Amino acid sequence: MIHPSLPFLIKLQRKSQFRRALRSLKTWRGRIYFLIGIAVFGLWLGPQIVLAFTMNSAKTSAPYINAFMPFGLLFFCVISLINELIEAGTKAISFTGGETEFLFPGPFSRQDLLKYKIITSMTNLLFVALFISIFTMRFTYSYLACYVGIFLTLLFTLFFSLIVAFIRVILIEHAYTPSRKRVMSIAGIILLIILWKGANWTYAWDLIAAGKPLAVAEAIRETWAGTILLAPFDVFVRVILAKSLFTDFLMWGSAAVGINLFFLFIIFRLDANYLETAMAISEKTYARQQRMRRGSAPISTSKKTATWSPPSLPWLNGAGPILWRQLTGAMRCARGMLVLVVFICIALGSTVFSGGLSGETVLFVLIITAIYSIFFTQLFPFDFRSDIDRMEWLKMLPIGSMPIVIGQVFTPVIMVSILHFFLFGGLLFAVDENQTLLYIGMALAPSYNLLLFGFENLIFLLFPIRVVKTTPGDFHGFGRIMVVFFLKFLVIGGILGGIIGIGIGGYYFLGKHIAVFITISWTLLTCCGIAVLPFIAWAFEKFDPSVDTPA
Amino acid sequence: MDNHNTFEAKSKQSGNDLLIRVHNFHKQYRETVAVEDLNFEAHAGNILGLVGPNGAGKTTTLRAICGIIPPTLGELSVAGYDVQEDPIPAKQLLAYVPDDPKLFDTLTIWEHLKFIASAYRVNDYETKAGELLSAFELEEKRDTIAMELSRGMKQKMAICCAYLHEPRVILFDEPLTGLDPRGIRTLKTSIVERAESGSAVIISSHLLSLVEDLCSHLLILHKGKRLFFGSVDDARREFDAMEGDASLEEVFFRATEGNNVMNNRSEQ
Repeated sequence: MIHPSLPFLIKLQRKSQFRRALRSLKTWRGRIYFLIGIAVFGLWLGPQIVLAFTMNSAKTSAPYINAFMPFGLLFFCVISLINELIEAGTKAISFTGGETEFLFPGPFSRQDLLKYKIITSMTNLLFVALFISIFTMRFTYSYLACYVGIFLTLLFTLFFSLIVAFIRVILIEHAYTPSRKRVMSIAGIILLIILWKGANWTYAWDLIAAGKPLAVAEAIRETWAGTILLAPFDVFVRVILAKSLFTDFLMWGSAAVGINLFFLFIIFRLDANYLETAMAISEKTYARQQRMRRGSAPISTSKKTATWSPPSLPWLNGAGPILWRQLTGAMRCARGMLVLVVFICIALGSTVFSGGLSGETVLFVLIITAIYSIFFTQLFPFDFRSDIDRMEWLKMLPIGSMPIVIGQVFTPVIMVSILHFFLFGGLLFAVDENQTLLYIGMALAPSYNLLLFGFENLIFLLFPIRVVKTTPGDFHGFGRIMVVFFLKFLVIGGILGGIIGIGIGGYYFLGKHIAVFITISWTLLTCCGIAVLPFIAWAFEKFDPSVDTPA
Repeated sequence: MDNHNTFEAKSKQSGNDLLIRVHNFHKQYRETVAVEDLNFEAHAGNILGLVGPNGAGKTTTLRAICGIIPPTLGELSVAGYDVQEDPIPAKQLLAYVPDDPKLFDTLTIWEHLKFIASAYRVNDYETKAGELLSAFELEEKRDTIAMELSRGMKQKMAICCAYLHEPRVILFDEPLTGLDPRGIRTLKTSIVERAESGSAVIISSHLLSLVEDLCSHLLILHKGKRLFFGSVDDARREFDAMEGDASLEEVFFRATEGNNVMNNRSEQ
């Protein structure tokens, strides 16, 4: 049994989420955003449903899903374990600020709170499973089996994360002494060696090198370690791929429910005193959410002190100190940049090792980079967007609007331009033809980024919004994001297309010199980028923190 | 209200007005000692000021009394109930108002109170909740969702929620943050009234004037250790080098910045 007020709280929260969604419909703008959100969502999911009925590919996909999905689940479990060891706590036992505030000191047992947490997570998973199943139904035989299978699989991952988190809590509570820690580490290494010896990894590696992924999966399965490790995951895959509802689905579905119930039993038997850990994780999560609300990027270092900062910049009418502040912050929060650098390195490395790129592909890479830069602007919020709660402070400074705008906007421009140089410079080693295009890309990148981030900041100052997590069914929020994105795409794409068109025209009319194209394009693009700055300064002056700061 | 009455009856039957007992409380995070061997008590009617510099272990102590964090060693009890062994009756009798109230973002003020009433089984909560909202000037905001409230209003709402179930032990962590002058006065009055009606209150604050105004007792912590525990008058007398009317601020600085002398005294 659960304390009766906890289901009541769940009911209140669901009701309030629904009310919040409806609240947005009170204004015309809200209704339009809502409809756009629904329409985009429909356009996104609709084709998947049509494809599931017209082009069901269960027969061809099933062997692959059967072979690889258990590995995917195993991978998830390993990552959960590593995450617990490294990051000290998963989201599985994270509570919201309100929950820690009212429920932890409230008259509830730990078990009550655990039941509450599991029920709320389960109701969320019902939605997640619905979403995933729409995308995966065309690879399965029955939608019901697909949905139930995915839900049970998600439940399995939730319970597994909880078990791992609880075991960690118990170990820390009872086993944290340096000598016991050493014993546990040795036990872990022995287990890894047993697993390594149990599977024929060299044979598997040979098959990977030979490009036979299905054979690799089979080879690993045939070893005793593979059989034991993958057996529980097989059950969930069989539910998802059940052909008949009365035999396969019922049989494997019962087995999957049995595994989940067994996990649930372990969770409650462990009875870990998780409240302190949960509180710490929840506080961390809350702090991260608050940072997101303020528009700040996640800090990429766990250090609490900083001993190095970039050298001071010249005054430049006040733009220097502003730029220095943003650059310093950006260097400490550049997780997005690090992710992209790693991604680029992997892509470049694999390209070079697989024999390089053809000349035609270079143009494609340039176009894709220009488009994806629009997507990635959220990873570099080192401008007005991260200063939403500091607008009063910015306005208070004895510095003119234009130097403030320059100081604010140039940090992401510099960062993304460095990334573009890194990408195009790296590609010079991977292609033999059309290298001129890469040099053009490098020449245009700073001006393009100035235009991109300038426009981003202009929209932000005119229609400020906080980056907050949208809840399921928040079509209004989704619609608004889509409208802004579409606007950005249309304007940036239009300007870039126009400039390249004029550049190409100049190239043909002025003697087919590539230098002419570069000069015209660069000049026009730079002018457009610079032309946005006065508009941003105007929008900054017009911004009234008492009215325009979003809640 | 059934459970509440039962717990209350038991605490009364014990014939003791001891409401908070912290005995040999020790909290350690790996190699870091947050609180070391702390002992103190609070009786019905006491208003205990918990003061100390940042990192002294004040919030850790409050959270441990609430049963949110377990002690590494020691016993903590609320109205005779051990908060680790018997957490539910202990929690039924206490309320905690943290320094930065985090609410259920999408619930309204009234829904928060409705939930608290359900959690603590408060019957006929509407009248009581209405009175609290009126006292803290939140009546007009009763249908406003929490995320739309200002910092001060959130604080007021957290206090209303804490008072709704008539707790016998109330723990405040920096309670004045964000409150307007009217709110401050209402809160101060309500704390005194609750203490007079038999509750024990702990106020953790850096505002020594607040502690001086309200508290009957004082607990000074420094780096997890108790430097002083006793009545406010005793605190003044403890520093014989000072005059009898020494301000609490002077007592605090003498205690925390000349703590060798005080350590010896507290051990006696």
